[in-house]
Amino acid sequence: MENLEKMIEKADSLEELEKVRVELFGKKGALSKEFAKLKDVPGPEKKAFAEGLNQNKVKLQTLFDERYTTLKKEEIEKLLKAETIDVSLYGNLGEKGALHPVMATMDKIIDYFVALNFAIEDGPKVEDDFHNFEALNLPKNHPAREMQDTFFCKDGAVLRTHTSPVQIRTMLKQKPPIRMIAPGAVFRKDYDLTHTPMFHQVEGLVVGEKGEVNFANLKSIMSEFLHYMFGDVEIRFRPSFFPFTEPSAEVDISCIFCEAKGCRVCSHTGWLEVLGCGIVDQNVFDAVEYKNVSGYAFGLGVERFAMLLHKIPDLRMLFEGDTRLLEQFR
Amino acid sequence: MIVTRSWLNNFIDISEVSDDKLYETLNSIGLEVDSIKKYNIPQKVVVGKIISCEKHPDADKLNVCQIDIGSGVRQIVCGAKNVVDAQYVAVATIGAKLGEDFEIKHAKLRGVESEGMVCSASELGLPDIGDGIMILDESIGELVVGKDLNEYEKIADTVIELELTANRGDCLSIHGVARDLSAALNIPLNKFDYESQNSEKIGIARIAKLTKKGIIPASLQYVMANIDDLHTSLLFSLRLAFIKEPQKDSISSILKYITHCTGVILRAYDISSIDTEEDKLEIKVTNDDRVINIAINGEIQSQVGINQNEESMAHDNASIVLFESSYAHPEDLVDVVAEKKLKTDELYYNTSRGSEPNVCFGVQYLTYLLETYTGCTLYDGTISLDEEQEDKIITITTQEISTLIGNEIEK
Repeated sequence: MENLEKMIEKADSLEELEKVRVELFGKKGALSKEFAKLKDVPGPEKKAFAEGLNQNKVKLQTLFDERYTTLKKEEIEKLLKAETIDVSLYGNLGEKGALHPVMATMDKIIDYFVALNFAIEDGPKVEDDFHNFEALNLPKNHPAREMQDTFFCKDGAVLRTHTSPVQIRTMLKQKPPIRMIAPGAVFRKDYDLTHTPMFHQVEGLVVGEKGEVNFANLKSIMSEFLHYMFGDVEIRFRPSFFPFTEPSAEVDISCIFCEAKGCRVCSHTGWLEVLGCGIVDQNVFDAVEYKNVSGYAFGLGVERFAMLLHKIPDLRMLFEGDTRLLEQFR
Repeated sequence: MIVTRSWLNNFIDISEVSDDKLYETLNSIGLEVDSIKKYNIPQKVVVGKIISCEKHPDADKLNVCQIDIGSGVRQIVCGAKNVVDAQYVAVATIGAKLGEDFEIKHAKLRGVESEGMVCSASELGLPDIGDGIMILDESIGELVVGKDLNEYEKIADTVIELELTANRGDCLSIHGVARDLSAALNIPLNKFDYESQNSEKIGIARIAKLTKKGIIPASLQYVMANIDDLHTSLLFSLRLAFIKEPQKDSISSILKYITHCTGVILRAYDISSIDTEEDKLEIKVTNDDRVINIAINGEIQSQVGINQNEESMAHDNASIVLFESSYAHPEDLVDVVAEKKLKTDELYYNTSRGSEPNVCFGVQYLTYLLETYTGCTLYDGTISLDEEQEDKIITITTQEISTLIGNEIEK
């Protein structure tokens, strides 16, 4: 009996204790053997023997449980000690994330228009011909479609080439008046110094009663917006052509790299083209069955704005994920 | 679309308009200027007249020329092959600076004194116009020995590259841009008019007959010419180089030049490549499910506004050429080309955006160029097929414009 008690006390790990448990309490263990002797004990002594055995069993069990608790506790303490973290220690992992310059620029643009009570609208990136072209006064086979190098799917669907289809979706869903912007990714199959197959645009549309919205409104909003983005720059509106607006204008700002003296970035013209806009073409309103309305629309490339704001020379740098560039925007 | 100042001057007098004003005006009328470049010929580069040209005694590839440069005759050694054909050349005289570290000095080439350099176009900073030196001719203006080359406005030109939007087919020509500038600057547009100068000619109608089947929504005009002394003048080479469209031979140079100048689509057919009976030509125009086919003596040679059979295309070795100027409606063309997946040639860029509908203008210009710059003789008259066209009328009131722009406009 003392032997058995010693076995328990001697066990100094949970594994050893488990072995001891099998030796003592297992089916072929020491206790089982003692209990097996019971059938050979003569009748009168049987009772006392059995009581003794039971007492020993309880004693051993108690001893075992105590030892188990102690060892378990030691084990946990050992583990805790090994895995201790000193939260007060100074760390060397000071890396924190930041918004990508394109997203940060987009936010800055959105902030401006949200403050003017423009709603933010969204649409699918895989579009159909109607929303991406037809309803925007870009009939099939029209040379103006060549302005946009389109990704076509086999079933005739396209990856939207501009955010303008969101205008159409919004107008079909809502009734005028409308005052919205649509920020998002667009796709064109082009890749060089100034083009990437995926880039971002912010589209804007304002529709009101006929005569209520005109070019003067557009001009004032665009001018103020560009001053908000680029500070004290000169602004120039140049007549241009977009199928979905008439009259249309492209808007330039005085070159922020050379202060309009002429440099490589502005092709020595002193001007940088930053956005396109115009009065919504009647054909677009006809496509969505709007009557007696007038409106203006504008669109801009977010990457272009980001490049100008941060003086990034190559558009592709924005998509290479080079941390040496991105770290500068923390 | 590339235009040059001197070329615009053919149609509108912009001699008083500065390059800056031109730049500003073009931008303000929706013709975005991509780049503007003034070519300056270095000082002391003058017109020289070659008096004699002999082989260098000690070098196979060099020639020793005696050249009159106005202030006297200079001996200049030249390495270009084509100097032997030249009469007038551009001479960089002693002291001329052709680059930052390149000043012309007295030199001795294999023992022979040389006092200057005969220049190629690219040595003068002009676009490359082919091998060898630049041979001057009267196409750039009267050649005065000793005159600074920089004073020739057709050489020291200002080249303006426009980025045209897809709706401006009307400005795909020098004449079209001049027309818009004329309105913007309030300078009259010179009307081009030219009557053939050759009086002893066979009438074209005696050889060629034009017939049509069905309704033809297109305009066509034909002239014929005997090809003789065909060459590309310096002006053509230079301007085609300015517009970055150098051509392989003289006929295509002339056609490209006219289309770029007038906006009219021109094609040339080599008659010898077409089967003829007793030298008669039958030109048959048919409308085959919206494709306008031109058949000459039974074989289709072109589709108006779309393409041309390469075998009948005229080159410099042709003796008789049938020239065709044509117009078809761009909206018809784009639909039929897309639907039938037709093969198109480079002129389709112009025809699909709307080429110049005045086909007569193209033919007149061709006649003028052939009679002025070549020895070609034209057959008398033209044969044509004109489409009745009504003038397009756009009705808009000043009130409507004011509402749109949000501002009153002065009447």
